[in-house]
Amino acid sequence: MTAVTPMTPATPSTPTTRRLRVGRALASVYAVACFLAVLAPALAVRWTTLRSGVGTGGIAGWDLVAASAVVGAAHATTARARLRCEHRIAARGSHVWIASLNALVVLALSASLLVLGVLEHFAAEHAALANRGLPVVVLWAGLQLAAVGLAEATGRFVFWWLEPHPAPHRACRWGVLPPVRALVPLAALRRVSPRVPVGVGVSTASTPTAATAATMSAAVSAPAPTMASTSMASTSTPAPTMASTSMATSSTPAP
Amino acid sequence: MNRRELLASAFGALGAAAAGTTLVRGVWPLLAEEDLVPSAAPRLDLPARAWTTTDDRVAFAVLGDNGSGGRQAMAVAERMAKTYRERPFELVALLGDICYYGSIEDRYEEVFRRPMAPLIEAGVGFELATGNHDEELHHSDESLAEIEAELRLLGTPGRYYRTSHGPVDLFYLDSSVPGRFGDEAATQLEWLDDALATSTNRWKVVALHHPPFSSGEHGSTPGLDERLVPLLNRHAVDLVLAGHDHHYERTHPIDGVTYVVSGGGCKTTPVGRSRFTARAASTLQFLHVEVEGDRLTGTCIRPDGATVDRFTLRAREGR
Repeated sequence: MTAVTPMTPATPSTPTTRRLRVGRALASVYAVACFLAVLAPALAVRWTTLRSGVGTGGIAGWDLVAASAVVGAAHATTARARLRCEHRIAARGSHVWIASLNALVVLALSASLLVLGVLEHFAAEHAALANRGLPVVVLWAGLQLAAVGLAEATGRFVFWWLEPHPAPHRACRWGVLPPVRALVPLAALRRVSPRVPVGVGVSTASTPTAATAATMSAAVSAPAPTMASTSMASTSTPAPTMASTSMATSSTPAP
Repeated sequence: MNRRELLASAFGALGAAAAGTTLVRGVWPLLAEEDLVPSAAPRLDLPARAWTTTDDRVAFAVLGDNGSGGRQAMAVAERMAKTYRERPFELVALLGDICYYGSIEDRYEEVFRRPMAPLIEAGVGFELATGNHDEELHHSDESLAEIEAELRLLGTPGRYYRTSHGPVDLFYLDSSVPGRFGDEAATQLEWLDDALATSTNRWKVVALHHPPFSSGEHGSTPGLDERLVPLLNRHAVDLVLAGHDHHYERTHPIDGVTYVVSGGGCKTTPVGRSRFTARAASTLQFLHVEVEGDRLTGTCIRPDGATVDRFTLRAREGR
């Protein structure tokens, strides 16, 4: 079993603490931007219906706003958690924000363009679906989920691309699903020599051994819990979550 | 900053600038203007043939640019059906652009039969003035086939024709480029001249897609003021109905002729005011016209049932 040192909070007065605070604040701002980017196309449609006299009931368009709000809120939660995690483990803080900017661009464009393109070019098919009773809100939410997926993939890929290679072993409150590791090939993980990150106000696995690398491999290959639930767990219960996860995965024998 | 950071930063910054411009100037306004979200058709049971048409009484509806098959088109169609229940009309005059986002052959069900199903089942008739989206390539073989398909599907006799309903004679024109300026313009105008001259009904109403006078996005159609308007004045036409611009606008009588743009069948575009404007609104709408004796009353109705405009015309002296 791998020994894991629980993460300890940094001293309030250190520069590291200030960096983390700024990171958290910016992560929250970023989450709001993500939410608005997902919500914008539904608001555009809704604004038109209100302005042009369709009325407030029935087909007035609140369903699309509600669907976008749900997708946007879920994505904002995961994006915020991912950012906080990346901010803590990044070799340079700028990597997090560069990756996030790219992800936000992809999110804003795809959340609107996917809806516009798919609805315009497959109008007859969608009309037939609507007439058969399939609510259009399902189609709308599906397109926005696809946009969120594109944005998440972009953010994670750019962050991974910017980070030093081979990727060092860095601990993250996301435990079994650190964003960086999610895109690193398993073989590369087995080859890396883990090291403790520099300039981060939390401690990590104290014994960077082969067993730890095996733990990572198992963690990557293990079924991942949903990101939202992981995020919530990580923010409310810092040390025990990671410790228990690592302990569970480290029961796999090292190769 | 290393090479990767530089590349990713540049991509992010340029992407943010491009995305901002694209979304704010292009995509979001387009989403707001277009009617892309599909919807189930209105389901109302209407009494069949509930209207009363006599020699001095008739009611009809006017709808323009309704060819999306989306939510807004359905909302307008539903309001038309509800209006029929209260004030039955025997005819819908379609002012063109009855099919967007594809061919009428493929989308006839979505853009016409489904939204209009309650009215079709009630026996209401439909007459069409073809629009530019019904002939996107301006009388190429392809667009002519499209027009022919529309006319056939709607049972319309030709690209320009005349019908009579009670005390009203309706003259439908093809206002596309060839019909307006090209080889067929002279033929069509000669036909209109003859048809108006031989019309003996009290009310003369001309319907076409392109508006002679408009304060909207497309504006007044160039050339119509020189070629068509003098003809309308000479024969004392009462009302000219047009679409093309996606708004509602009524002019003050211009040389005795009132011009109405009723193009809010499924989309809206901004509208300003001109010296000829009596009432204008950027809204989804249709026009309900009721003729009784020497009075013609037009009511512009929004999908929520609100009245945008109401006007009354008096019959010309001697009619």
